[in-house]
Amino acid sequence: MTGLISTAFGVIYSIMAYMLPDATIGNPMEPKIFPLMLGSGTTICGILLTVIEGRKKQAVKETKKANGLSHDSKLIIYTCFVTLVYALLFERIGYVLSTIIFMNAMLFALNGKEKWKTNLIVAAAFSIGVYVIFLKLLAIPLPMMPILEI
Amino acid sequence: MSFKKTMTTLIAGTVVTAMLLTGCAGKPAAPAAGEAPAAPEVKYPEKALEFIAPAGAGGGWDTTIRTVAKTLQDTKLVSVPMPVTNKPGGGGGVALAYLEEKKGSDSIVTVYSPPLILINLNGSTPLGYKNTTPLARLIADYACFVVSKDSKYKSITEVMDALKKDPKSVKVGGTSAAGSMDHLQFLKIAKAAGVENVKEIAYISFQDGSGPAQVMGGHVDLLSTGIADAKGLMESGDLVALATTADKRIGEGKIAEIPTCKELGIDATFINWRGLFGAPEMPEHAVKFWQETLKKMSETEEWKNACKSNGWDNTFASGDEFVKFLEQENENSKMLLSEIGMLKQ
Amino acid sequence: MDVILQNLMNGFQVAFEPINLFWVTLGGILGTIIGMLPGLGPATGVAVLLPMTYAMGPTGALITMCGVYYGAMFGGSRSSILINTPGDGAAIAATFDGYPMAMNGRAEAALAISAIASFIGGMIATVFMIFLATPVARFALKFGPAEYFLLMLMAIAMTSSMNKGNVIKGFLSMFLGLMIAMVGLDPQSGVNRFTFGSLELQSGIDFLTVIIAIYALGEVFKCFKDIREGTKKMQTKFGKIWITREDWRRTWKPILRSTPLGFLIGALPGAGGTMAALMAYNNEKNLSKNPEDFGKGEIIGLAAPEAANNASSVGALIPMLSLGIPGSGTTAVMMGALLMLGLQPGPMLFQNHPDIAWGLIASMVVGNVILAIVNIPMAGALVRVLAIPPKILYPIILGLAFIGTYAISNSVIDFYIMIVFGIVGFFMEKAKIPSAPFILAIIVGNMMEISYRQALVISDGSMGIFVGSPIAITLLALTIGSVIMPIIKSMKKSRQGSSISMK
Repeated sequence: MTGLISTAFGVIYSIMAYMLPDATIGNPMEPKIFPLMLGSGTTICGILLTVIEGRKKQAVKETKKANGLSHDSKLIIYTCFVTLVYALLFERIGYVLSTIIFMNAMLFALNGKEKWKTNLIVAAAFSIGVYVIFLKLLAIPLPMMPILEI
Repeated sequence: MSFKKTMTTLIAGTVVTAMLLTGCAGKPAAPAAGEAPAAPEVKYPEKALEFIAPAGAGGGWDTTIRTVAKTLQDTKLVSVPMPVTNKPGGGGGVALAYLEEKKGSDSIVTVYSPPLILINLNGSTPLGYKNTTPLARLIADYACFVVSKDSKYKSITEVMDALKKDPKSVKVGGTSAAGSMDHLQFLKIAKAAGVENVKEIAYISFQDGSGPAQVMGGHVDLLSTGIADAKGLMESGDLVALATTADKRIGEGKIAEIPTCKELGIDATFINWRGLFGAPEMPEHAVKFWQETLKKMSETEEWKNACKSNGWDNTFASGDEFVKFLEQENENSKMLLSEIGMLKQ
Repeated sequence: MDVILQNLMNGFQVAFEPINLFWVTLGGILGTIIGMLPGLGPATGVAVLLPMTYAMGPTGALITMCGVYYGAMFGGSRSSILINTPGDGAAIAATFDGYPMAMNGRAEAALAISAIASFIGGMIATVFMIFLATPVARFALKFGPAEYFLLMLMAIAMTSSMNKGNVIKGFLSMFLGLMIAMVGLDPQSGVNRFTFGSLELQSGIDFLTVIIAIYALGEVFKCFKDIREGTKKMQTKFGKIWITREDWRRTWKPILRSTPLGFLIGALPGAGGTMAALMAYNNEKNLSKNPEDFGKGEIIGLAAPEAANNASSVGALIPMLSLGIPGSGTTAVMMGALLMLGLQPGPMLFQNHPDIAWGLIASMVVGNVILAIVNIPMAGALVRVLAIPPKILYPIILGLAFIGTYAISNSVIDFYIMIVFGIVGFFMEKAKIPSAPFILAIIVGNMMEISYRQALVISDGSMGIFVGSPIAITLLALTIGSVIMPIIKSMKKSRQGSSISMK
């Protein structure tokens, strides 16, 4: 699997590298040479891996086990979704609020609904604590909440 | 139980440290607050500003913007923090892309010089001076050509003679990207000295500022750079400057000993102006603030001293004058680039 | 020699002034805290604390910055060991064996050896710097673009080939990492590469974002089930922060070997701590009689990179002080600060301002001692982070990861990049592709390509430049050796294995 995917990726990358615009100064091919080398390198690695994987499959019949991915992958998709919402809200409603929402979403998924009190406290303490440290101590500006300006 | 305890200690600790340190960090800024020029309608600047050097530390842009930040702070013309960030790459193009991204921001101030125009004309980036808000021109600097102390070239004429025989015989290094300032200033002089095929001269760009080390190590033969950039190593004698591109002797001490190209019979000069720019569509109140503040700054003793020690000419211009100057520069550069064959059609 | 000692004594007088002692301690503590946060490394640490130093005068400012620099180097590996999230590139190597040590219930020993190795590395490197700064700087000048390219090639080739399972997957990881480094505006020609029309991608993908994504997000993705069900292995009982006599007996030689290596790599402008740490790790793994223990909590695998990493941070000051050229991201910020204070870094600094230059060197010694003293008790408090149940700790790590990323670029775009790389990291883990070559390649990728192209412009297109100097030939030979050696070793082993099974 890994081998085939890498081979395909290497070939696609090489084609994309070849299609890159020419440089206006000096050798026009210059910005493409290194990416082309990388593309071919990946392709070679991919082919080698495919060959080795193929041999192994012949020797030992791959023991496929149904790993407990299903639940984990749901959680991964959930995390990605929560992060997307976080990113969308971050600059609109400010750091503190969006982080409280994000932390709660993660805590409810991991720590469970029963401990909602702990979840709320941890989320709020974390967001406000980080905000104070970054803004006041390190002078790194973070997006503020509209109207209230915190 | 133990978890609760840890958390409380943690939180308490954080808050205490934060309070302690804000007190600490706040002090230097506090006394200056009262003296800040109060704009009538919009209070500006209130937040920390973002000063950007579009190249690595130690180069001309970096030195200029840091000197501006320091002078503004020392003279208390600006009382909010002005941290300088370096955004090197693309001969300044990376920082231009960043400005475009932050369109309409009132808190970004950056520095540019001829490459702003050159990287657009030579096709390195579609962005140009029109994608900024010009604030003011501050100084003029000049280029110089330096070699290692044990170089076989003792004068700029020897370099040019070698190039006339074989344009590939001298490897020229510089800090700006190929086709940009450090490259062009050398080609302009070479052309004036009678070298043909200047386009063939090998130019190697060291945008991380390692150029002086490369010329000292003999990896390139000559470094085309700004005077201030190589000052320390010239004073210590590790690098020898062959010529400057000014029309007269400049600076003091060792700098004033460098001959100009004109003196050596090459009739050409190259002026490296530097000015400050904001993000495109910078709000009116911010533009006004900077034009006024920078004018005041250019008249202070602190600024004049900084110019003297760096070998800069104090050439302030803002508003329409600056914009007209940029348009004029754009036309001149177009001519120079097309002569050399690097203008993007 | 007498002159050096005389100057050094004057330097110590400056460093021992109570106010300067205070600054270096404060800087060290702040630096350690900043270094521990994911994404905030020494460069950010020095940059954000810079405005604070304006009021101190040049000597105080420099000394404080040095403290922050060192502190961040000490602190960066804390989070590597405890939560498998490096604070900075240079701390990646500390995750290899430091985190397994903590998982095995040896977090105290891991934290202690990390502080001890850092201390010894930093101290010896400072002594080197006092007596060898000039010859080392001269040696560094011998590195032209071709030598830089080969040095970086060697570092990533070594890191790729040390992958225990499958060397090809190591190289695949390297190529993928280099591909990520290609994204953005090509610094030489100004051509946009693989940006897909996005303005944000023009400035490239920050390697710190990728580190945070792969380690912090990746760890959460990997252990979701265990975290949720509370079965994730964590240390809950804590002892004294110290190492056993046996630990010391085994680590002192690797520490002493890794220090000069780190120092030399650091003195080369641009090479940096990540390379130094990874090279020291590879080196010790190659020398070890039981290389298979590496990655499972081998204490040598933590001591060596820690010593090299701190030694390189001292070495990186050499190009700045002796040539006026920034040797790393952090020294670039420090150099900017020097210029702002009206000091011209470079050879004249020692002549024009000997008190400042030597005061700085002396305070490096003092700072190192103070940091070691401060760090051991601080580690005792820190190790208790592990007492927080993973169900709560991991959301906090995620929160810190996102804020760290935001602090690097001030752009929400990096949140999306993080999700992408979190998933990439997850699949790489599933496919057993190692992440270290990937990350090192992202860090050095740009410089590697630039050096390659610079070298070819100098040589007018001839590849001969890559064997054009003794240094280049040595580096090339080491590179080839480091790739071939593991292959021969594994072939020998498999031949032995098959011959046994034949009987």
